[in-house]
Amino acid sequence: MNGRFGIAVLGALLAVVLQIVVAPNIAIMGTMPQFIIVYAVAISLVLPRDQVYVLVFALGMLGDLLGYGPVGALPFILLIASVAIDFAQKTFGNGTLFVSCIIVVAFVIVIHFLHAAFMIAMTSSYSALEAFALIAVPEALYDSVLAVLCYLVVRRLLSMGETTMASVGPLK
Amino acid sequence: MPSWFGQGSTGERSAILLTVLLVLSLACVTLYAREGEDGAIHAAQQAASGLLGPLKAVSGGVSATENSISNRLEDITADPNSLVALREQNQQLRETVAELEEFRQEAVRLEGLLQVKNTYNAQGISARILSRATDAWNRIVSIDAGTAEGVRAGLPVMSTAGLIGQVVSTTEHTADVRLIQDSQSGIAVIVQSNREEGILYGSLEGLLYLEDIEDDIEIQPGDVVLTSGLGGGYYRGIMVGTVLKVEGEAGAGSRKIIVEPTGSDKPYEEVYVVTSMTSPYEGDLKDKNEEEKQSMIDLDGDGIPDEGTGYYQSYEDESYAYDEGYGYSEEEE
Repeated sequence: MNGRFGIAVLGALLAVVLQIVVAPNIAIMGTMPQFIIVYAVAISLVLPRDQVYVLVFALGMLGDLLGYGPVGALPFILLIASVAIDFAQKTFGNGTLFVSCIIVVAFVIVIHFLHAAFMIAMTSSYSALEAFALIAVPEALYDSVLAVLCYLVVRRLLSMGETTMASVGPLK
Repeated sequence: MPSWFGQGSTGERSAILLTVLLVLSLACVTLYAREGEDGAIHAAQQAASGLLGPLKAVSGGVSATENSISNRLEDITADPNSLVALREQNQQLRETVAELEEFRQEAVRLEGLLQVKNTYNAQGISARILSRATDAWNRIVSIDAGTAEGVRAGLPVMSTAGLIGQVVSTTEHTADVRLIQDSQSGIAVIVQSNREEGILYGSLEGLLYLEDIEDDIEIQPGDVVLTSGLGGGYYRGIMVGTVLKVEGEAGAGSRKIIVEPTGSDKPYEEVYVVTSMTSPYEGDLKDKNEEEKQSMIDLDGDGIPDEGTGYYQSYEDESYAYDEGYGYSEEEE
């Protein structure tokens, strides 16, 4: 495990802890932040593909196991999203922070909408209008703000990890 | 494979890894949907909930600290005008208490007439709320009592104000309670004023909707809603809430009846898991049947009182069987 991935794993654990301990207490009018989704989107932009896939799968699984919904839905959506984020970054990314932030916001919204669609399809007790209006849209807006902040922090931290690793130099 | 996976062995490895993880995710979803509540994935979900009990307790602690800080901040920032206002409010409250005492005594007298007891002779386990659900899709709380304390799935859970939900899953020392406001919750209820039965559904917005009520039945805001006990799951006669709003007229097909859960204005920290209770209606039913027999009249002069001549004939038609843990259910013919 290299330094960057180690930092990313620690960040993932922190996201899970925040989801359990903090998220229910900072809900705004019933809208709860999803730190797991926020973090998954942020690391999808900064880590290599293989590491992203493993991490978002693990995060998604933990997220589903913590909740009461269908297990496997969140990792599936996060994996699809991470591939799409990689594609979007390669297609539209021009190295500027602004474009990266736009990608972060766009995919947070997409993930929430896909997750809502999954929940509607899997559970008969949610109406589509209610699910989108009361859960998906408010959470997507809340998480968009958090995801941009998280992306900036993760980008900074992982660049520090990279510098630290580079300064050690290869073993001879 | 798409070109963005890159060329060579690294690209292939990424594609294979992604495919495996996607298949694994879909397999989990499929298994979850097909297996029952006792399946492996559900069991893993419950086990994870149990393992994370200590973290959930921290979450509850954070919530309590947050409330405390909020109250302290309000106290610190209170100005002299606020204190004057509070004194006035205090005086108003004293007057209201005196007024309410009158209402209480009147209510006790009315209860005697209506033969509705105001206390639940319930037995159970008290527990503290550990945490709330970590997602907005479910209104589920975790409590610090589990199978070791005698809690089991299906038991109703009450706060001091009335019914709050039902135990849906348990671990050794924790249990998850689905609140009545959850969109997957449905309770068989009865409207106290007109004895009309219906189903009270939760919703994503947290409101309770009273459905399956006959269109021509008049329902008024303020009508009390109690559990009917039909279908099992809840004991009969537990206060659930009051009708808050009726959208549409009686007779209109699209009428919406919104019920406000009892005690919804104050957060509860302690709850009571009911393992057995004597319904306020159980005694009444027996008493009424006795009175019914005594009040029957001998119409045909054969020396035997005739059926259908008592005061409480309507109760004769209702027959309920009591099943501990599952409340009342309609007795099979």
